[in-house]
Amino acid sequence: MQKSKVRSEQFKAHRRQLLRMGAAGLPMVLTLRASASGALISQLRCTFTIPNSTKILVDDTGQAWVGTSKLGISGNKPQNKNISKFKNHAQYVFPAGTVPSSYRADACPPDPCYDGVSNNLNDANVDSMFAHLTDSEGDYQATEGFSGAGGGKKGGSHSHNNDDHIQCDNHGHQVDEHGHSIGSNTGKYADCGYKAYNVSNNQIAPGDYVNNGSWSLPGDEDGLYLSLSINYADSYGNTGGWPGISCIVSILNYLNL
Amino acid sequence: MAAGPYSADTLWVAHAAHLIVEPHEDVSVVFHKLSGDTHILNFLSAAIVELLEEQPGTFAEVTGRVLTYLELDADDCPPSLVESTMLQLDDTGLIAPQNLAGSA
Repeated sequence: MQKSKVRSEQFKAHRRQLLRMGAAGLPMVLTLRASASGALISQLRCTFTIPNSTKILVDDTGQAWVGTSKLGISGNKPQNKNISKFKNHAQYVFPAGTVPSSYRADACPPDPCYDGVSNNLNDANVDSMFAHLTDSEGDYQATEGFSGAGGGKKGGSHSHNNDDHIQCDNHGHQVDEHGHSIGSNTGKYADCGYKAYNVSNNQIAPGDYVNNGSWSLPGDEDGLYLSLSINYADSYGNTGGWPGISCIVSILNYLNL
Repeated sequence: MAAGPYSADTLWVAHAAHLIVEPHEDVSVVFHKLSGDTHILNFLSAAIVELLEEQPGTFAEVTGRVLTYLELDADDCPPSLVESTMLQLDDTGLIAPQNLAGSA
């Protein structure tokens, strides 16, 4: 350590000053404790940014697709025309049941306009089936178990089932009295079956969502991303290119999960 | 305050095998293998550790050796300062009474 025998007066003066401070109570030893809590805190401080254009598509079963293709999201509703392409080009696909129920889309109700065998109940065969129920103008007569509003505003005919007030368009989809699609994905955006979340460029600090040794995920799209991240880590650990996976795994290690 | 019982006759010792010392100008960074703690020692405390690595000593003996080693006189470095510094080092585990110190 201090081997030099030749000290400048300035150097000695500096040391004397320090010794005087020591005599006055200044500690001569400074300890840097490598406490466990310090190391653990650093584990929780990691952050990551989700890559640009990243979106998450979720269906009603809890299956998820993560990718960067166009979805045209509006209010968590993806554009119908983009869904198939997005799914086909997804970089990551999670099986049904992965996504928490709060993020899942509502399932589309069974289409009463679709018979499951033929294309729909608006074709000529159906009309002939119910020909005995039509009046002279071709409208269906109100009979118990069937209904017909007559003169569909969108030019569609009317199908029939056991529910009152059900109307179908020319494509076999249920519509309301204004001809708007009901509970199906025939419009521009998916009303059911799929929900979409834009997580592009979101910066996430997962440690912010750890409380008392367990996850306390937020209810927003960041919470969804973290939920998928945890699922990914369970399957693949700190491998692959899932954005932020090393940060997630470090916290999982901290939580000993 | 010391980590254990001591008196003016207590021989103090530092075990080099327990320490990793990195001198940096007038301070030294010392890693204590047994505790996992890292300590920053100024020239006085570092000198005490180095001298006790070479040979155990009492408060009085260490004070005399420190003054010689650092080319200081008792006015600059009173015995009470050496003693209090040794007790601080005892608290950290860098030095210990010889009868209590474990072997390397």
